[in-house]
Amino acid sequence: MIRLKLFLILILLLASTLGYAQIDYKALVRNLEDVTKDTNLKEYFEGLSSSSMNKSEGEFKDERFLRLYGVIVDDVEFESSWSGRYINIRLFNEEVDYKVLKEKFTSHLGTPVINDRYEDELEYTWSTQEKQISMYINLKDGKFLEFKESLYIKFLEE
Amino acid sequence: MKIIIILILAVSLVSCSKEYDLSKVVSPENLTALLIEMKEDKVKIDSSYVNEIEGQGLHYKGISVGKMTFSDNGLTITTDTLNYSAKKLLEELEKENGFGLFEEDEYPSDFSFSWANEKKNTKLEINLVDGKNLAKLGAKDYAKLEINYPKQYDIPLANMHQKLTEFNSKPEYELHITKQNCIYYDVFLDGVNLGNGTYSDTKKFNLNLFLLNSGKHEVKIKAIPNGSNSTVPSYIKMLVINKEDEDNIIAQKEFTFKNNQEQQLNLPFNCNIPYELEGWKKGKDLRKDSLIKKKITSLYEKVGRAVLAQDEQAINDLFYTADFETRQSTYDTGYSNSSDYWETWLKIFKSTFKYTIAQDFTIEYNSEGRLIYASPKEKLNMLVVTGKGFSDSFDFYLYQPKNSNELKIIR
Amino acid sequence: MRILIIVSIFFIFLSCSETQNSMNDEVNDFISEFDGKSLDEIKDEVDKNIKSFESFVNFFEGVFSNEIKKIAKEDEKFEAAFKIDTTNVVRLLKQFDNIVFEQSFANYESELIFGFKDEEYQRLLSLDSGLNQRFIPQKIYYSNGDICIDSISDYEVDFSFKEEWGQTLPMDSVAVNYELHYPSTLDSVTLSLDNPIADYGGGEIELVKVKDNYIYLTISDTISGVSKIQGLNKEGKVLGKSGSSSNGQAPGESEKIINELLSYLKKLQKKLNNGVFKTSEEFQKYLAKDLKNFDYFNDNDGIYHKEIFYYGNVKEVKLYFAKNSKKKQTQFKAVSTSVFGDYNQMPLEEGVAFINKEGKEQFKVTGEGFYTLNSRFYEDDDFYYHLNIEEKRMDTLLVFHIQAFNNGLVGVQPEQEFDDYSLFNLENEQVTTNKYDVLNEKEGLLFGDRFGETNDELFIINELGEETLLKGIAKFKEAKDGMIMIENNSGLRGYMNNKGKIVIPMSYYGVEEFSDGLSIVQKTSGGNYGFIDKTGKVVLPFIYESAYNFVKEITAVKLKEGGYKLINTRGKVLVEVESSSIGVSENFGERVYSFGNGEKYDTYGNLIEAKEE
Repeated sequence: MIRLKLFLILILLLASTLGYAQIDYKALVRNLEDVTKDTNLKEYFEGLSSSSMNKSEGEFKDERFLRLYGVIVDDVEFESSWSGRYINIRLFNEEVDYKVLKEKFTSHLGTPVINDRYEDELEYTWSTQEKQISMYINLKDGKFLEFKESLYIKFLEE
Repeated sequence: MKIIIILILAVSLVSCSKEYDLSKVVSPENLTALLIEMKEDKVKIDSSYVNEIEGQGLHYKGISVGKMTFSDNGLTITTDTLNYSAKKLLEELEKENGFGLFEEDEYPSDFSFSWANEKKNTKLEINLVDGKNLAKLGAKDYAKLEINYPKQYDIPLANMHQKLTEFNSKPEYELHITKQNCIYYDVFLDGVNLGNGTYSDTKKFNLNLFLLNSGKHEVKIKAIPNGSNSTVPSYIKMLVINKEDEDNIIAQKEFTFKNNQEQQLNLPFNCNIPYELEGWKKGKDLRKDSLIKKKITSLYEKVGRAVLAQDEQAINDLFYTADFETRQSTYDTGYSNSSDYWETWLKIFKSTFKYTIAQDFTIEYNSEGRLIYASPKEKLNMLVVTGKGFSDSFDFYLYQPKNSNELKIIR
Repeated sequence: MRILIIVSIFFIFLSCSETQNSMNDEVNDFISEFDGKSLDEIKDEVDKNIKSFESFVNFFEGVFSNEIKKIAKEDEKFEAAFKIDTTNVVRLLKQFDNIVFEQSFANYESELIFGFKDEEYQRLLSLDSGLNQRFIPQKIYYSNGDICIDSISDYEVDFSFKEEWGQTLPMDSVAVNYELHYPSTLDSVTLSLDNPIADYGGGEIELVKVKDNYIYLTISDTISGVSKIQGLNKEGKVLGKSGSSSNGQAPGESEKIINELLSYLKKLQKKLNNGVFKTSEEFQKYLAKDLKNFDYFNDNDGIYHKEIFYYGNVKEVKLYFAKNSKKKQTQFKAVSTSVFGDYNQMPLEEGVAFINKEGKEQFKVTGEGFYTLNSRFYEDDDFYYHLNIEEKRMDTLLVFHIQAFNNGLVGVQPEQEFDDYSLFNLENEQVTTNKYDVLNEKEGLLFGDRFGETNDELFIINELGEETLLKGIAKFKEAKDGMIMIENNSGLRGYMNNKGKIVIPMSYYGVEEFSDGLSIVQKTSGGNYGFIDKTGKVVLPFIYESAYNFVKEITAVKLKEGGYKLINTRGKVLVEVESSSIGVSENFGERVYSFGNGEKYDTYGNLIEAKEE
């Protein structure tokens, strides 16, 4: 009798550590590389933790749901004006993230224009017909230290 | 090895004290019941500073928590020092309540999630310990969960949101008047006087309050040129729009003055509103009522007396219909406003030591005498309630319902 | 608040030298808390006390945020070695030029609280260690002409709290002697592990424990006045202090005491639970007998215990004593700012009494004390009141707001915020049917505004409520030192004196307050600045493109050409600066002029920072 009880307890302990049916967070992740100049942002972020999002402007800060080419994004802010849509993407200061994004942007958008005018700073700009991406980093001893400011994506009006 | 496991389990069985699932505490009554249960189980409660219970079988739906502090209207749960359960708590709360309002960098917490409900407000604050960010939470991140129960009131006035209808489409109709070199006055909507023009060249009038149902309505104004500057043309323009869709003009009318004569402009329009209100439709025509002044004073007296006596039921009866129709027509259907408005009344009760009613007033008859508005001649408001350093004032639209001899507040 | 009582008793017997009598008072207070309670209630109280005490024990363990530990070299913090500094002595003696006091009455005594005339700029200077000060009242000048010199030297002169000052008679002023004792030569005693005991001044000092950043020493209480205790590290540098405590008991003793008290309470609890006491009075008697015999309520070890934590590892401790001290004194007269009428409020234990100017009680009213608006109008949190002398009571006034003015009138808004003000006199009689939108008192004059359809009117109102229209004046701006700045409808400004006479016509723009007797004005809007005096005479011509007001008779100005200049009130250029950009900062009446070329000058035009290269 006591053996059975102990056995049951063991099973229960095991079950509780495995966790129980949860929300599928992975399915809710938004890949920001999919956003175009026409995306209705209100619909795009629908259902997630509330953000001040209209169909063309707003901010979203919950990094559980933000990725850019697989890299975790801290914060994303969308602005729109008569000259088009702008996206500011704040990243975490991980060197591996910088490397991944540099590689992805280059393979999707071509060679960047590199500006190394200032010591300990590097500015990359990728341009195509549709959009322009600026990435600005700070260096220390020639190596990546941090992102100097948010990643800036601008959609060009034809 | 087996014996050790069995021994450990046996010990935990024996010393396995009672467990308390804090996720079941969803109201102040639940909290009181839990505390009684804990007291009977001789759970140690430390009341030296705040009421605190540590460990002793506390958990939130299976997630073990370290400490619980409680007060009359809520409790705070913090994660324990062995199994910092921030991630687990967050996922459990999101499973329970959906995604909440997310805030970042609100010192001293790194992140906070809040869910506001009519009966229960929940806030989870997370501090990263070994986690890097929300997408990479660690096993030791610290969480503080605060739950409080907003005060519930029995009075119907404080629970009006339960009777109000939330509509998907919320058209808000506005009358825009633009003028140049002229003045306008006697702005009427379906026979209800909305006021006069001012010095500014554009003015907006909100119409919903006096729109009782969908269908045909009409706005009328009277205008006359300034007569001062003959080189600048005098004109007036009125248009009706729905704020939800500002670019679509529902109806408009323009008039340029050719001489100095007063002009009456009528603008009929169609509107489509989702609600339908009784209002003053079936009210008595009060234009011939000789006792009207007395009735008005008597109504205001009733309100003043109710405030002074702190008579909650009387205030409820006086204001229910008017508040209902006002809130419905302006789509103010949320629960938090219900309790806010009621708490404003409670504050007025507490602060008031006298009321004064204007004795000398003029009466404006709208909608063929069915809707009246009294304006004091010398004073600012019909009814003023006063306390030390506190005052509030009231002016109402009144009507006399079909089977009654007394006036009732309708706006 | 049981825990407060327990805690306070605990701290009392821990602190140094408490007399036996006051100890008994505390014990009696504690026992009397049980008056009128049933045995069950007492049982609950004792239970709760024990619980609180137990948790308090845990709290006490961590009462120091300091702990004994080794401090790393880079975390060391130092302070200056103690020495006699007499410059502060001079400043301390000189701070009593403008002392005032407020006099009020309570419980058949006068209460005084002292302050400075210009509260904004002055505070009582703090004493350096080793200095002692005493205020000794010499004479009280009463308003009725009496002068009192007997038995007043014990009255306390306090700048933060009201203190009792004897009979309830209005005072005009008080003459006070200020004595400052400061060490003129110092003795020092150095202790260390090698040399832990020293004799001084008829007593003994012992360095009981030295470890890392902590010292514990005892000083026999026959030694008076240690001026300063400083700790030195092994290089002889003076370490900064991070925490300290002084006790009548040795450290560690306190723990013993808590535990003894706790076990006594538990013994009590057991007795209560076993029904040993038949009545609450029996319980109280038992308590009284026991607590009075408690050894620990008496602090009789005659030693002063001191523990200190430092920002560094202590090697030696240096104690400074005043070997010789000097005394310097000065006398000052503090003037009363209180005004007394025929009826003055005096809160009592129960109710409020009103006394006349001779200090005689006229009658009592119910209430807990009122805030005085003037001699006949009062308020508390809930209502405004009028003192009804005939009926000898406070009449409650159900009004929205009352504002009292120095000319004896009060303005009343009967119902709400937007009401006009009506004017009433001290008898609560309405003095006029005139009403005002705004009432303002400046420099002793009561101004009333009446807003009209076409224009606003400004009046001066006298004590009888009679109004005088101020023609042409639309509003007044600042008021100071008997001069009130006025403005007409075109924005031109001038000045009126406190008799209501226009002394400087409204013909200037950009007028500023008077300072050092001069005011900056402009003749045309956006034009040059000049300075006028209080008679309206143009003292410095309109040649300045930019100008600041005078402070200590110096200011900075700039002509159209050239850089800034510092000038005096006669326009004489004291300093020429090669810079056309300036920043002026002002603190407690002292200025710093900073210029674009890096130069900085002080209030008196002295160069304090040279030009940047």
